[in-house]
Amino acid sequence: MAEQELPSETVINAEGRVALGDDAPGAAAEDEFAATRISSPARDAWRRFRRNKAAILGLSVIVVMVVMAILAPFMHTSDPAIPDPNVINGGPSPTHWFGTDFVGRDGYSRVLYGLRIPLIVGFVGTAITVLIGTVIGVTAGYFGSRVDAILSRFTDVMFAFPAFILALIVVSLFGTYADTIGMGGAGRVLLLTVVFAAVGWPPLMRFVRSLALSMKEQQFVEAARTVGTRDWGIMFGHLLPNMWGLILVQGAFIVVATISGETVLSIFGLTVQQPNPDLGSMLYFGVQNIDNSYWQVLFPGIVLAILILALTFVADGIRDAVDPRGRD
Amino acid sequence: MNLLAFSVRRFLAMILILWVVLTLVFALARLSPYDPVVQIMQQHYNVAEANRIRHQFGLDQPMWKQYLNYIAGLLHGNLGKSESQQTLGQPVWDLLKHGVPVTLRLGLYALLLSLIIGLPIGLISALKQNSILDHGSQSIMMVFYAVPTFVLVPLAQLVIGAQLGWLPVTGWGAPGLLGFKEEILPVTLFAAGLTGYFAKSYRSFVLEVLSQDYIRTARAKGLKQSAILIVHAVKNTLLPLASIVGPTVAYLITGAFIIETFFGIPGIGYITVESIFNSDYAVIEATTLLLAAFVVVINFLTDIVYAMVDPRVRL
Repeated sequence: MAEQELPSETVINAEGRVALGDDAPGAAAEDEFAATRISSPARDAWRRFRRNKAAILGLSVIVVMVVMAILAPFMHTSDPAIPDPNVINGGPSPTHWFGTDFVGRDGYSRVLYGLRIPLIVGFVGTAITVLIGTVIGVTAGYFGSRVDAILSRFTDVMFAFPAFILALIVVSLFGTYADTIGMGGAGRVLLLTVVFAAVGWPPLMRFVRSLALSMKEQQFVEAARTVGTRDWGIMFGHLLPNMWGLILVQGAFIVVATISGETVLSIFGLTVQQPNPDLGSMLYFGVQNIDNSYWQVLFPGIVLAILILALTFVADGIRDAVDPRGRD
Repeated sequence: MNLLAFSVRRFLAMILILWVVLTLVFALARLSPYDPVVQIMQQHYNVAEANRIRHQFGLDQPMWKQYLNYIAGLLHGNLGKSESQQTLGQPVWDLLKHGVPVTLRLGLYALLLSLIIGLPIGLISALKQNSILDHGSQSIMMVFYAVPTFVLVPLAQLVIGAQLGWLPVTGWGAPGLLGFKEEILPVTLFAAGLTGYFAKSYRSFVLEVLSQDYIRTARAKGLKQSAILIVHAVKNTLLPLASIVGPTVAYLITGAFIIETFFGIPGIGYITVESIFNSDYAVIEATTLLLAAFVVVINFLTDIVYAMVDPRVRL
């Protein structure tokens, strides 16, 4: 496998040389190989990830879905919020590929726009929660003693509070207000993002803290301290660069959990309010109408299933790539 | 540390967490921009009447007094009063109490079913490691585990309920055979994810135990395979198993919300989701408190049981 991947890398790295002519690309490849193949954990992990077919497939699916969600205004077939009273509960047809819903809105266009909310909440919420968990965890683990005691007790309390229930009550109490602060449900999306960012970090904090605890006794940290590096310099310049791979693995699984959580809340009517589309609420209203219109359940359900499975494949792939020993 | 001291410490920690939970719920409810009095009166709103209601419910008192009243109320089992139009003024507990046994039954059935199916599959996979049986069953279990409940349920309702018409997709508690049929689909779908999780985990627990020296010793002294399995292997998988069954409670609660909402089963989750649609915030607050308390107490009990079985935990 490694040999097959060589040419593509050398072409990129040796652009100037290859441009001289098409003779002996192999020799150029040989030279560049020695110069560019400096192994680093990130590069090794990326190479292992690329070989994982399921993970690459998952990543491609996610990229396609993100692009579809972004380009929804150019790809939709009719306005997702405006009903067509002539085709209420209409089945799949050349004009309405995924059928229409109970007031006659186009299913395909609603799926396109409906992807946006889980994706935004999932990725942005996770990014924030990973930031919070990492900073608190590395601080607690590195400084130890009293700082650790305070931060860890705080985390214990947050950890004991069921995250899903906390998200449920916050969104139900503040959701209606959030709707008033933005156009088209933007306030609600912001609220969902903040809520999932605020409830998701305790497990990650514990993980990062344990990494920092074991890492701070190692020689490279001692060496950094000996040459006079400050605490913050050691934490962000030496500890974190050695952790980010493992943190990325946790982050990938948090994305899956956050998108699932957002979907569950939207099934309970806590996402953007009608007529704005969200996959979870489409699923809920589809089930209310399950006996005479299969398409209202089938299409959002399958898109959600594909999204979650693709994310899971990618998360598994990142885990195997970053830490190959952890494989079964 | 002995068991008693450990239990007392854990108990105090549990009380602290419960206090934080109920304070948080109080703070969130008071911070939220919505006003229960406006919600109750709706178009009949007038200032004098609103002030009278505020006085009646103690909402005109200073915040710290409201907080003390709230805690005193909770200690007397008063979870607040309903704020929706249909059930205005009814104690929240009266609305929720019928849901408790339903949710408990649903969760218990699902937990039992997933253990009954998941553990044998995990055990057989481990004993026939790397056989077709192992890979086949583990792949199926992986799918069960990875496909989320909220996708599995609507698709199953669509195919098995609506298209094939084998089983009802709504309803709960009908007498006789219909009642049993109503329960099959929700319980099975609820159990599916857990079954996959238990089968996967139990396989690795058994493999771990089978690689231990004492298993080799038992084989060497000529014990029968069945005796090795029952006396030495299965017994030693119970501890790690206990450590994963406890935390599934939080999963069961989320799962119960999803299952009850999709199937219209009148448990706590369904009642709470209904109250979200009716803006009955008192019910949501009460459910939050009840479920958080439930999870915290279960975690406490798991810790105690774990410390009884494994003394190292108490350190």
